[in-house]
Amino acid sequence: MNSADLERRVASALHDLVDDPVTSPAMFERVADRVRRGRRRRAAGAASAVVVVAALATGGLLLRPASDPATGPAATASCPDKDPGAPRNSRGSDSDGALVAGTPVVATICRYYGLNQPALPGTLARSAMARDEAAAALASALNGGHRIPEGARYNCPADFGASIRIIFGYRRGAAVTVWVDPAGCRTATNGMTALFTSQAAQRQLTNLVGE
Amino acid sequence: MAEPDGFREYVVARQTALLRTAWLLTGDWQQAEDLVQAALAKVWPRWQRLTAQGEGPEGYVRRVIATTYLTWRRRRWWAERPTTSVPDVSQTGDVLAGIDLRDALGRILRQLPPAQRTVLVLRFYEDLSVEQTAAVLGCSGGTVKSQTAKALDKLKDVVSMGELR
Repeated sequence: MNSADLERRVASALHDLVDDPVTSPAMFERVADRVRRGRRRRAAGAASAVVVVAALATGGLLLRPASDPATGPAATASCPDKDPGAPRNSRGSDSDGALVAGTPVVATICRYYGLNQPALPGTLARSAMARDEAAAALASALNGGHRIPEGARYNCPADFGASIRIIFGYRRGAAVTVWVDPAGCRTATNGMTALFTSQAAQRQLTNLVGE
Repeated sequence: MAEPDGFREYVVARQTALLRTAWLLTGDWQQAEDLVQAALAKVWPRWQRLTAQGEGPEGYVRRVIATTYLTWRRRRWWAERPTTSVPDVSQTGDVLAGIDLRDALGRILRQLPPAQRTVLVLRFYEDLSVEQTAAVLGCSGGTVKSQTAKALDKLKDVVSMGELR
């Protein structure tokens, strides 16, 4: 086989190799979201630099965040590179409170690998951000899951340890974290209240961070 | 930052093609989508200038995808485990031969060093010339040729076993 023939065959093989991708109708929104997050990071970096310079110039150590998380506008969280883990009391309900209280305006979703996946368990696989109606819809879908009876025991053989961490942010800056088991028993907890993850929530999470 | 004119339409129209290219580079659909999103986010602020200059965005987008992929590969561990030997390939000519070859080609492609894989995708999937590939990657034509030759050398055994279906 001569060089030109080899190149032609490789070109043909590469085209045959690629399946049709599942395209996302939200691709543009996700790109726009990345652009917004990038601008915020740059702005935060610039603000931090100004604070550092000012502190050094005055000889003080007044290094503070740019805004007070208790009263500032809805803060967007970022995903840790490693899964920080769910709280111990994550199974079974010991509270009648909602999983996600009120109406969040932003949700940062972090999906972490489990076993048998292309990176070490607990490594950040993908992240996404939902805002406004999308964040509220995700909260509502999570709250729509069936309550896990207190003291109930379930066998979840297909749980390979993957996890999703969702940080809901509110207009006044407070945050609520929800941990989701995307496989196995498919539960969601905020550490106090635990629910089975509704199919609507599962669909939304799959759309946002894959599966 | 306001949405640039025509950017949304471009994303909708071209996302399938961009995802295919990104998949050939990453070998994983989720990483491919991540790569395309990251590349398009870099293109966004330059979109008006690109279109105002009258040049199509395609070349620049392709360049950003390739260079972003190479940068990520330098910074991230993507859990690929190269093997010392090329996987066995079926030579039986049965109905599964095409699938075996396709699978083998995919595996060999994933085992190529990132630079060789990128050159291969740009030259033979995107159908760029040596000069165009060199311009995209910011390297010399000689580098493109040598990387291409090395990549083809690793692929020729499996490709010579037959046309893939």
